[in-house]
Amino acid sequence: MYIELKNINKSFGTYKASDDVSFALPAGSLSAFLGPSGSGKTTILRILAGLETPDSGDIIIDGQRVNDITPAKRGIGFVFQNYALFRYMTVFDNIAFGMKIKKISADRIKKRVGELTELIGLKGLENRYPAQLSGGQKQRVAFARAIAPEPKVLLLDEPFAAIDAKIRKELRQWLKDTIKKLNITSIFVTHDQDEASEVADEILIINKGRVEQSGSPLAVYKKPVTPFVAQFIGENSLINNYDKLKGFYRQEGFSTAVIRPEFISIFKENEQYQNSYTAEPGVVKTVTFRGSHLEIVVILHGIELKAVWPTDRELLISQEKVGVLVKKMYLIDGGNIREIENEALIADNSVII
Amino acid sequence: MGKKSPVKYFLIALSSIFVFVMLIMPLAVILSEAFKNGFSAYANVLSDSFTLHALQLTLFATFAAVVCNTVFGLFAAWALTRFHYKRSKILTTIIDIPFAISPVIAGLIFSLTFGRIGWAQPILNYFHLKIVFAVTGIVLVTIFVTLPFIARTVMPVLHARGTEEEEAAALMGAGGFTIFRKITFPHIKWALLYGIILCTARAMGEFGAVSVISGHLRGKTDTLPLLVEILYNDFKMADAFAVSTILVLLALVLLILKNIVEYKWHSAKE
Ligand SMILES: Nc1ncnc2c1ncn2[C@@H]1O[C@H](COP(=O)(O)OP(=O)(O)O)[C@@H](O)[C@H]1O
Ligand SMILES: [Mg+2]
Repeated sequence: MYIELKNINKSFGTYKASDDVSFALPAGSLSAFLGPSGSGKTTILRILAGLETPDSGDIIIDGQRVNDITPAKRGIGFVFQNYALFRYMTVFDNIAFGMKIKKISADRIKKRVGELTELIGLKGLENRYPAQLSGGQKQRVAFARAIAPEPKVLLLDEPFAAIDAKIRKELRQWLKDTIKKLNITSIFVTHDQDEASEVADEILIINKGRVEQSGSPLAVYKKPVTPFVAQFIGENSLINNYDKLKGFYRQEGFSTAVIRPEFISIFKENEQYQNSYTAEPGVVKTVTFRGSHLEIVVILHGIELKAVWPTDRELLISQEKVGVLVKKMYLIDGGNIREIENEALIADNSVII
Repeated sequence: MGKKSPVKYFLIALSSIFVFVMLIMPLAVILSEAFKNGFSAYANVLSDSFTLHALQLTLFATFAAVVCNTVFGLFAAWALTRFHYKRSKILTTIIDIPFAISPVIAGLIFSLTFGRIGWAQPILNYFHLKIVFAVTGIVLVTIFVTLPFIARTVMPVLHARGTEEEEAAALMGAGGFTIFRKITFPHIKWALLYGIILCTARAMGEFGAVSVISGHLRGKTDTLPLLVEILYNDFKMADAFAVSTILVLLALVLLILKNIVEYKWHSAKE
């Protein structure tokens, strides 16, 4: 493993910003810290970089414990959330800064800055100041500045947060491809799950200073291991009276259920379908167009559930009567999580087979 | 508010009258009184050795205070905005003390601490140092009363900017001095200059604290403001006003500089 954190703790006053954080990431990987705002993602990144000192625990990079090594010597490139470009320096000087400090010859600096501005697609803008650049351009300069001294590890704090939606998508893909090409072990922070799933090989879900779960985006989505992850990942419905739904019974200790949109099947009234008698009658409350699909809120026994509906089928309208089938849900209590299938469905399927 | 309301004209008129009575008229009086006995009398007063000495002393004390407080102000502002430690609030408050304390009290504090009955007297005697009734004392109290200006103008700028640019530079291996020179200083230079001008203006005009500690030794420990007072008390009105014009002139120069700096500072922000 290339980057390893072992039992890292960090408090600000009485507030525990990092709580026994441990993880290990292989060389060349691109990982994401995903968690709500204030969950301690930036703090972990800053501890790794040496900008914050942990109260206890070990930071290991490339097999070496680096706790007592100064930030500059850890070989880390850092892209700050607000880029933190040197505002009184041109794009050229920003990118060249780290190399100048390393006393690299002017010729080589010039060559490398040339390569990097090419890479980030900003050739010809070397003499601009940060204030004269768009958000996306600033982001790219910050990226180039961070990788210019050829770090072994690259840390990016919410790299896309301040960029508008359209450019963000492009930039994500670009960043992913570029990092893969350069083969730098990288971690980026985000609070956007789409972003994390799209860009990262591995996601670490952070909540209240702890790593709740880590794994591939698919694994984390498919198999949440803590109640927090079950709620946080996906556009979920959170309900308490889950035993009102056909095929589900109250389970001792579990007070809340998390239902993902894709756990719900919706049928038009006149439609013929399998499992038809397990579906219950519901009413469509709202229909929202989401580009590739419709987001439906359907009411069943007074419970509001979020579901999806493809745009290529006959459209649903508000107040339409529909059949609703909940196939699966996660039950959660304080610290436990349990996945349950609709019992009627299990019985039903076995009959058909 | 575009309406031509009577309130608007009333307020404008009131402000104008106020400015005229409180500022313009007294300034005009200074000039007219200074030249009452003709230009040659005026020139005589200004070229008088006591006047020149007072001017020299004022400039010296001001210069010393500005240098001292620039160094102190930068260090303090840096420390208070860059290192967050438990008692940084208390230190910030302490820096403000000279704003809150009457300068006369400040002068008294120094007199009592370093004067003949002060507890520091034996130490000073041992090193043959004299503070009260001496130039050293004047410089010290001037530093004291102008202490907060530079720290206080630089701090908000440093604070508002955050530390990330410096952290970015540090991560790339830049040392403390390089970071200051290349990253921090370009950002604070206008604020610093502004603070220096305020500090200079305040130092030149200081009367209360200097008055207590100087002992009014003419030709030795009197600054321009003190000389004005001495002349005034001796009923040499024209002379007093003539010396005042030097202070007025210096103030005007600083005022112009201040406006230039403010203008540059604002355009640098955009
Ligand atoms: N220097 C600091 N001093 C005090 N509290 C801090 C400091 N840095 C972060 N925190 C607190 O630690 C918590 C986690 O912060 P952060 O790591 O920035 O979260 P995230 O990046 O996930 O939004 C927040 O509640 C924040 O207020
Ligand atoms: Mg953050």
